[in-house]
Amino acid sequence: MPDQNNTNEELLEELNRTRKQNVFLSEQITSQNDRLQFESQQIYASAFNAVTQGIVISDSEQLITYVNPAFTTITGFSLEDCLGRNCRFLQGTMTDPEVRKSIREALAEGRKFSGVILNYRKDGTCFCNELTIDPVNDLEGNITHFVGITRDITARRDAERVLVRNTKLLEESQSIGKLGGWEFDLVENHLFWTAETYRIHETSPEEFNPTVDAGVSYFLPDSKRQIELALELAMTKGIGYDLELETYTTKGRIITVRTTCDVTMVDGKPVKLTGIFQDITEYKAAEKRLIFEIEKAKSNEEKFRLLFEQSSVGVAQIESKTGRFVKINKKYAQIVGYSVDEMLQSDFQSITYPEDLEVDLVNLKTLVRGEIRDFVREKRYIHKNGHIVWVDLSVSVVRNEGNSPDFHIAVVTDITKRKQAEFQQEFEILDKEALINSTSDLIWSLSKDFNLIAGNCAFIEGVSKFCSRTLKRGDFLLSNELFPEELVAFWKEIYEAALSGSSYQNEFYTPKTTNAPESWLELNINPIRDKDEIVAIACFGRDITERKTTELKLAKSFKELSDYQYALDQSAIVAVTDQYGMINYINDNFCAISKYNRDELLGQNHRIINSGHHPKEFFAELWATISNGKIWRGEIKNRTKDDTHYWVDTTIIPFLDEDNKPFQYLAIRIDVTSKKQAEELVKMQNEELLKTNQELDRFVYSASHDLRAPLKTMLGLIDIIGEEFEEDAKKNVLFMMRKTILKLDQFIGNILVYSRNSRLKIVKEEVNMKELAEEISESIQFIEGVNTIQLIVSVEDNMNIISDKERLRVILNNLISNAIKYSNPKVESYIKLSFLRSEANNIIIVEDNGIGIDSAHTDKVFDMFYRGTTLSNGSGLGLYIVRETVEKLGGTISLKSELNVGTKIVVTIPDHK
Amino acid sequence: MNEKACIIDDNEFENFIAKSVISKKKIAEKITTFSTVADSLSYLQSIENDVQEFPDLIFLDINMPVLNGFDFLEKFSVLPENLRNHCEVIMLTSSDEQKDIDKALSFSVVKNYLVKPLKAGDLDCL
Repeated sequence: MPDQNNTNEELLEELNRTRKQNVFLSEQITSQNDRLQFESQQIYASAFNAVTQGIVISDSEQLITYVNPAFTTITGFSLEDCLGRNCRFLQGTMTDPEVRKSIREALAEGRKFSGVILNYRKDGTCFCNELTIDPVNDLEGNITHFVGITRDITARRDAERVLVRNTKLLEESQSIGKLGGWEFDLVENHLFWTAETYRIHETSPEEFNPTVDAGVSYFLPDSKRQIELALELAMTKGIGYDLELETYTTKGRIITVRTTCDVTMVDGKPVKLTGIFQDITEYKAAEKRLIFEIEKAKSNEEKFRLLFEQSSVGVAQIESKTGRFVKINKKYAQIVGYSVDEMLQSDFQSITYPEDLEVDLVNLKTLVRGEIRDFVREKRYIHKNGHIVWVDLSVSVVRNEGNSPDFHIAVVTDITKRKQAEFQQEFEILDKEALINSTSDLIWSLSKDFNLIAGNCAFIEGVSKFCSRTLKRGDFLLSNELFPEELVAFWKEIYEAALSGSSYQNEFYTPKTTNAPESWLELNINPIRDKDEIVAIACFGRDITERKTTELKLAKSFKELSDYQYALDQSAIVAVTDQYGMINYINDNFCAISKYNRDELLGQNHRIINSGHHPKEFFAELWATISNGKIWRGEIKNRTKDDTHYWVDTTIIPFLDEDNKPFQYLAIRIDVTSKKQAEELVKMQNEELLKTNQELDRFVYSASHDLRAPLKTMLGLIDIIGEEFEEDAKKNVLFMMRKTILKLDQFIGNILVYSRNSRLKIVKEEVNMKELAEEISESIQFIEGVNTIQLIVSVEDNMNIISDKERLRVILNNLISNAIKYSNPKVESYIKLSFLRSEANNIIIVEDNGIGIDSAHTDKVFDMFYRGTTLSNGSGLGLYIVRETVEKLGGTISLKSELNVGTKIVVTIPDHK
Repeated sequence: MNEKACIIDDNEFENFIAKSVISKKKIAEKITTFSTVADSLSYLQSIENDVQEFPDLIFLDINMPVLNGFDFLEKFSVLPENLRNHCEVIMLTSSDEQKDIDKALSFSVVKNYLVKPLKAGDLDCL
């Protein structure tokens, strides 16, 4: 701008010069005319020769009578060329006809003409002629002469054209520089403003007629006093001024202007004031800012010292090349946890957080190279005790008169807390957004027109997947293109309810579709209100399919479980005890089988049903198993309240706590009494069967002996008889053979009796015991040795019993024949047969005084094949058959015997009714 | 032939048969028969100190009342060794049960087991 200002100033100078010249010329002309009119002709003549203006004088007929030398110089025409010619000869083709006309009319009317006309010189060239024609009147007022003054103003015209062009340029320049000008003619009391001056005042020549008073009135009060004083000094004493003042524009805006004044003096008196008028508002503002900045810089410098020593920020002077701390305040050291001395032994690199160091070094390099003067950043230091300290760092260089900087100043503020808060906030914001988008919950909102306003990722993805198209903001959520009809209806109802102000909270089931598996949504739909008006709908949906499925499964398994429990209670005997065996629960089955009431059992120990069947070790083993957390299984015989027994197949399951210690036991029992009884029966039967088998073995052994032995005897006898020739000997052998055969026959007979007894049913009939005794007496008449024995029979009168007569006969035959067989030959033998009644029983007693048997063997005499005496030649079946038969009839038999004294056998036979 | 034989059987007819066969075969010149074990044992105890009179052969039945053949063998086994060495016991029984055979032969004095009826040929091995 200084160049522009210079140009403007030059232009302004030229302008002013030109103006001064113009004014001067016009003054001269005016004064000349005056003189022509008022001074004598003689004077005129000598004067005419001296002037530079061409003077032409014509008569009343406008014929030229005189031209002065200047005229000849201007036009090239001499006095001789011009005398007697009309002035019109100077006119040519280019001369403006309008101007010619106005000259003609003025001259015809005897008026003065003044104007510029294009005339032609003698050599044919044109010139601008500033022409004044004055008619000269005589005393009577008749026109005698015309005096024309001609001036070649071509040069001036050209200059004027330049001026106009320059003025335009100037104005533009002034406009740019907001540089206006003014001029005040003290003589004529006329104020002139340049165009820019108008513009500075925000007005135009058309709107505003400038006067000194008007101009002054716009200044602000302070400035107004100054300008009034300055103007007075200028106008009275000719002292110029150069002031910066504040003024209003015509529009009321305050601007700062520079206004100057030069005084033109004539004869020691000021006649004209000229000056510039420039809008310097922006410049001043800039200047003010600059001043402010400077002021501020100054105060910072002041502050710096204070800051350095006792400020709340850390300040350090650092050697730029090494990073070493040259000077450092306490606060700086405090921030990083070191002492000032420690810091002065250190450099900034060693306390900088490694990740932040590179940027520092790059910044420092550019700083040292002079590419930047300062930089500000947030960085991390490592505190002496290891944690990170965040600081706000500003670094500026300390210049040494243009050299590359040796030092820089670092100012640090501890912003760790703020940083942490920022991170926290940032994290929270991120977290919230991330949370909304990372959650698998569906979150969306929709407008009152049911268009989607926003939805989180889960919602957009989920719904897009469901309806196989990408869901977008603004989509109509009740569109049939998105959802099947029934879903649209469902949502419509909910959304409309929300719009009417009610909330919806429920679980919502979506059956399986081609795109998605079945699902459960927990929905929470609420209206969004702005003040009282519902403006939108907020929706929250959580996929609870998994939970729901689990719930359903759980419900199902719970149902199954209760079914199981029902089934168990129905089928088994169930009891629950605590860890000490105290009964806490029993089902109905338990009560039913044990015959105790529930109240009698609850709180009791299982000992209440202990049958005493099992040894102590049995229960010890049971407890050892279950208290170790293991399941016990076994069969237990229990006792009911009414002292009967029952068997239970028992499973005891310990329920374990977190420490795997049983806290209760579940006992499931199955009634196996009938099974157990069957088992016992089988066991008993087996034992019996075993016994029978053994008996059978013995029977076969004995029977085969008793059958074969006589046959072998027969064979031996046959061998002997074959070789015997003597008749007596033969007879003897034949006798032996006969006896042997009888023995065999008797044995077979016995076997048949035995077999019959065990096989045949009892044939009941009324038996008269007296008759029976007589029959027996008769049948024994043929037994060998019976003659020496006295048979004494005693029978109660009319003794009739209901029994099997044949079996009674077997019993009596055997007993009596034995008594005969084993009679004692050394004494008078007798046999006493008695039939008695005793209550319901009939008693048969057979008593003899025979050889008897050793009392040591009396318990064996009823065994099969037992032969109690060497005198026996029988098979040992007799008494066995007797006992079997007695038992078959439901009776008993007992025997008392003494060797060589006698035997007494008592048989009781009940009546078979 | 200076041999002495005893026959012990509860069946008199068997004693008769055995005595006939043995005497015909001329195995022993003196044959004594007993119908009970008790009687035979009493006799043997009575001649305990007279080795000359002690039988060389004893024919013994098993199935007898009160004391049977095995009872005899048990009581016989406790007799002085010189007597037992002097004597051979031959089982003569109608039982051909294996357990009877085994039990009888388990007594060292039992030298043979013959099943009735006794034939002359049965005595050849003696």
